[in-house]
Amino acid sequence: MKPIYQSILLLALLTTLAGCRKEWLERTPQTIILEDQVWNDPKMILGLLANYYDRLPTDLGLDGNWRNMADYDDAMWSGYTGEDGRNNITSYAYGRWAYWDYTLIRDINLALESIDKYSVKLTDGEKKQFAGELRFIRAFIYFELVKRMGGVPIVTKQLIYDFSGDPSSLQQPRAKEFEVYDFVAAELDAIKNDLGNPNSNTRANKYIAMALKSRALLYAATIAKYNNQMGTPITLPGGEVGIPAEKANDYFTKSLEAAKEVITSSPYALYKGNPSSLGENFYEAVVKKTANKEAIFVRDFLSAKSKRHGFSYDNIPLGIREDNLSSSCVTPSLNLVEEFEYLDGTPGALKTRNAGNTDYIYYNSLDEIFANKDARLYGTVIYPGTSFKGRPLQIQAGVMRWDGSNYQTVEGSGVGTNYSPPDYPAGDGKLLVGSSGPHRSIQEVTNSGFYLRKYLDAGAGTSTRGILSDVWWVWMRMGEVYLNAAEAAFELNQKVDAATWISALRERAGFGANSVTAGTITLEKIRHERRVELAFEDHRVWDLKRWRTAHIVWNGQSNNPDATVYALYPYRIIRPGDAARDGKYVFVKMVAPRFRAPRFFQLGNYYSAIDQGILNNNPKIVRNPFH
Amino acid sequence: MKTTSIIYTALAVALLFTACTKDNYKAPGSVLSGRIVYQGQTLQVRTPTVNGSGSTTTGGVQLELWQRGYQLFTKIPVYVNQDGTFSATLFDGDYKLVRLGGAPWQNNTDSIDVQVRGSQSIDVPVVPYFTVNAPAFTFNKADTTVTGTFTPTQVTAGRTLENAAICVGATQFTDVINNIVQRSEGATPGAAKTITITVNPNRYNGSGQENIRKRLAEMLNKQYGFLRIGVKTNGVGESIYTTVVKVDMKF
Repeated sequence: MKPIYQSILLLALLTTLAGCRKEWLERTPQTIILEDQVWNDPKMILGLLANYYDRLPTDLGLDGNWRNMADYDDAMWSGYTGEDGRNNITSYAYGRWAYWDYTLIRDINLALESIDKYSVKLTDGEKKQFAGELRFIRAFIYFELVKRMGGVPIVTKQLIYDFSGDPSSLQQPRAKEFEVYDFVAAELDAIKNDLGNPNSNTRANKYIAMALKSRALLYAATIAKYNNQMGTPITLPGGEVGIPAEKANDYFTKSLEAAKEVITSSPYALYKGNPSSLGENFYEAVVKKTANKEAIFVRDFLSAKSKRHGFSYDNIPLGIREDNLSSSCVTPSLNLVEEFEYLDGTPGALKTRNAGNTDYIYYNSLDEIFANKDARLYGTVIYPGTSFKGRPLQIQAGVMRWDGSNYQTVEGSGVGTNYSPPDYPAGDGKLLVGSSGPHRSIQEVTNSGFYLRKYLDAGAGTSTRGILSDVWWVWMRMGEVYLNAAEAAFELNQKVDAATWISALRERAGFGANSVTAGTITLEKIRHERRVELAFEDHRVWDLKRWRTAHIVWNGQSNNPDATVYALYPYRIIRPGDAARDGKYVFVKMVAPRFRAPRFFQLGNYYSAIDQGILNNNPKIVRNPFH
Repeated sequence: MKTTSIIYTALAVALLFTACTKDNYKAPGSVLSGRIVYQGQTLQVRTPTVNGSGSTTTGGVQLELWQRGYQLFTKIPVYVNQDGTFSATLFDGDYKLVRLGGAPWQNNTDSIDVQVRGSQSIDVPVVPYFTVNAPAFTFNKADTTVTGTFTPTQVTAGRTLENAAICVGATQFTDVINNIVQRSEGATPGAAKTITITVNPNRYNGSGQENIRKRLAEMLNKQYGFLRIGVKTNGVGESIYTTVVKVDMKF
């Protein structure tokens, strides 16, 4: 018994020793990708880059913060009533535009160092290109940081803690505001020839870098100029906020050079693919994804790969929605609609009353009031009397019935109703409220009288939750580069060039050739063009900030029309026996019924509040002014 | 069976009435109140309005309280009421009171030590850029206008006066943001200034002014309104005000 037991034990022990090959403990893991695998495989690096591109921030966008479009003066919120706070922003919070994504910067710094350290199988060209793209993304983020926060710490290396108990070596102070802009410009210059990707509009190339540079330096230049023209410039003693005035000209010059490079030598051009309808042409310039040379840099979506967004689902006009829920969330304001000029160059205020202000103007059709307007109005806004996806929209607020001495205004309790008995014994059986409103109080129908067209997907079923939309978000397009160039040229007193670029944009919108000349161009005209050309493309709030006019335009005072969102309600006239008026349409301008508090931008909003957690972690960071 | 279920239900209900007292903090109970003063006078500012959550301010003038020594280090915002008073309910302890920039007085970053031991009142001294003196308001029946007369006085040299505004409100919360109508004009420090504004609803007949028409008519119907003068310093967001005055508007 005993010897058998012993031999079994011995055998068992022997088994445990057997079978260990030399590399047993050094096998390649099946579930973890190692550093040198990642950084030697262009496809994996590209995957990482896609992640980083995807994390670029925007105040608007199509799949994240798009609701913010309703928070300024170009639009209001007409969707779910639980979000009515967007119509009642008593003042913008100091932390509203705060951004501090050093996580992403760290990821990029880590990637740059890892390419240096591990990549042996990549060619020098590939390495340079990847490094260039990473640095482009980092420059983009630093530009976003500086435009929101002012000067921020410029970190270009990984910060690694040595566990010594003293983290002060990791705590960097804020750079001066102009140093961050200089850093962005220098980075873009340094990498522009390494980028490759010609003709791409989703991965950085030389001209995307130059378009970003023209934008960034235009911001720097206007801040340098207009901050110092304020009664008391907004500055910090260390220069973290505020750019010296003498730098303005240099920045304008460099911004103009970069923009010129894109205009003259890039493959991008203004989109003019649909000359038969200039309004559709402008819509396509932003939205069309094939044969569109206008879009310089975009955040793309693709239904086939299930990268989609619900922007159309949430913003399609009520009357033509394809889903049974949502619609009509962000609706453009009358303020924006009136900003679009008439094609003869007169200001765009809509004419609702006759010259003596004694009676309405009676229009034969709902869209007659919008006749001869800048074609970009059609491309941006769905207004009464137009159609989308080939389906005409019914936009009518009610009827006005003549009782012999006055008009009685009748508005229904629902949308898509007829003015007929039994609810209205005196009704004539025709339309009362259109199927797309407007309505004063119902949610998910326009409250302002207009709908958004820009970014809406014209494809069948794209406003359903099952299909969704893959319209792209445009970071930068040729129209903006023209405007950047024109603004910089005007500030440098090169009025002929500025007028040429502005005229080119206006000609595409239906104005005659050279509608602006060196003699007639003004700064107000350039700023006006920016508002109408780039509406809802995440420019308005930043433009007002860098011109230092935001606290004047949005001063929070209830009798300031610029700070208030207005609506336009169309009514059908019932006045039997008066052929000149009966059956015609009149329009009433009013403060949008769901709009509550005038927009209020305080001096402390020019630079967003730095979160207390950041200040606690790094005592070298100074607060922004007024916080 | 039935009795058991009743007992269980009773037990479950009884459980609802128990509470954990042990791990709950007592609510703060000491009230720190105070005034913003210059030469013994309380300064008047804009009415604060705080968002529902209380987390974001929409108010005008703010003080901050800080308390060191705890892991969580965030400020306690203290909004200044329109009559220049403020109050905060706090735990006993040592705080630092900071006068935040953007107010209509000189920026002073020196903090004030406040020891809170039970409720107490403090005065926070500031030096304004301007003060508004000798305000007088009249309602003119003949043309339905309101006239405000006042003298802005320069306190801080080197600052310029941007404008002065007369604000007409229906409630005692009246300032350049909360009002029915207001009118601003330039003014010279040291010189008496008169601003006249019409409160006749029929004079506000532009499109989009229906709200103003309605509210002015309501105010005249009540036969009184509230008036206030605000003086704005160049480059400073907030104005300094006179006290709100209730004015009879009888025809």
